[in-house]
Amino acid sequence: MKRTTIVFILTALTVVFIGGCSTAVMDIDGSSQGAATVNYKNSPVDIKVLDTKSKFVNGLLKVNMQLENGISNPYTLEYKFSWFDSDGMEVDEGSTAWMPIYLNGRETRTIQGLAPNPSAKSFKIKIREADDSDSVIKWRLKPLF
Amino acid sequence: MENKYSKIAFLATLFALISILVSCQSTVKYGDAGSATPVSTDFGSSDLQQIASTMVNSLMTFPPIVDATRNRRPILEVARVNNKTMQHIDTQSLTDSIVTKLLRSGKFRFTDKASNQETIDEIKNQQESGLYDQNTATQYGTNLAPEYLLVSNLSEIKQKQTNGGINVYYKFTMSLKNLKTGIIEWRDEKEIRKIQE
Repeated sequence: MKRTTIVFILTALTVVFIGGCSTAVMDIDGSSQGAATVNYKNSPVDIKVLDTKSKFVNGLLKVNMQLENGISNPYTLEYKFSWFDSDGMEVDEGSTAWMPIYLNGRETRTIQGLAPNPSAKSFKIKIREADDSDSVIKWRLKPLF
Repeated sequence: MENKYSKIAFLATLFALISILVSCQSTVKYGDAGSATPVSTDFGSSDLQQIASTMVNSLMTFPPIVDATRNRRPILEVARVNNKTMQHIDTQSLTDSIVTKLLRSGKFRFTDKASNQETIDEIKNQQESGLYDQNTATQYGTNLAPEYLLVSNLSEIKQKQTNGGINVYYKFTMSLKNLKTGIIEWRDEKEIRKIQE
């Protein structure tokens, strides 16, 4: 095998390993008043945020966000809500977990979040590619409503 | 000259690859406690977190419960989860997560049946040891009784696929029962499917 071929293979492997070790996160910021802003800077995949709505239910901020899979292949994503009070301090930091969401090709799905307590006035939604998107274990969550 | 550059490129790439392999190799480290990455088709931490989050969100936004918690904080008790799966699962950990979230919402209060014996021992100590001022000692029969009971079931259906993979379906059902009337005031379920191909 020629040395240049070996160099090429090693470079390709390097790229694969770098890709496998990194996780990009897309952010959506919003509050109980006004529209949410989407930070596509670190967008991991072709995901479109179609709509974001929020309202107070029994004093708790409830957020509804519509996502669309921009590609024709199924995709597993993870999302997580963070909540902030009127001073911008995070509420119950670390109490929320990443939630998997399975999107069929071009499918539109809604994700919902409820603030942990009434002090939350704004939110941030983080979306990232699932670590196991191409691994042997896949998640499929059936919607309940 | 070309051979020299090729050699440098080869060594540089080899060094970069080794560095990355070393950084990615198996080591002990702290991970994300909220990670949603499934490790196996067995019931895992992310399943627990998804169930807890779904149940709490559903209960707190159900209109009759919203009405019941608008001006007061009802007292709840949690029954042990009926584990109908073939796995050994710490179901108390699951209900603990749900209770913690409900308590921290400020909408509910809970009694804790599990610590009743310790409570009795402490009241007995306050009443009978002679150490305490009886004006400040807790009297028997002053605890508030729960108004509602949270009852839950966890079941699984495990199937082997024709290609040798495993397909596991979990269903968690939770109900809120009014202890005075026996009426189920709220119920919801969370379904999770895990596939190992």
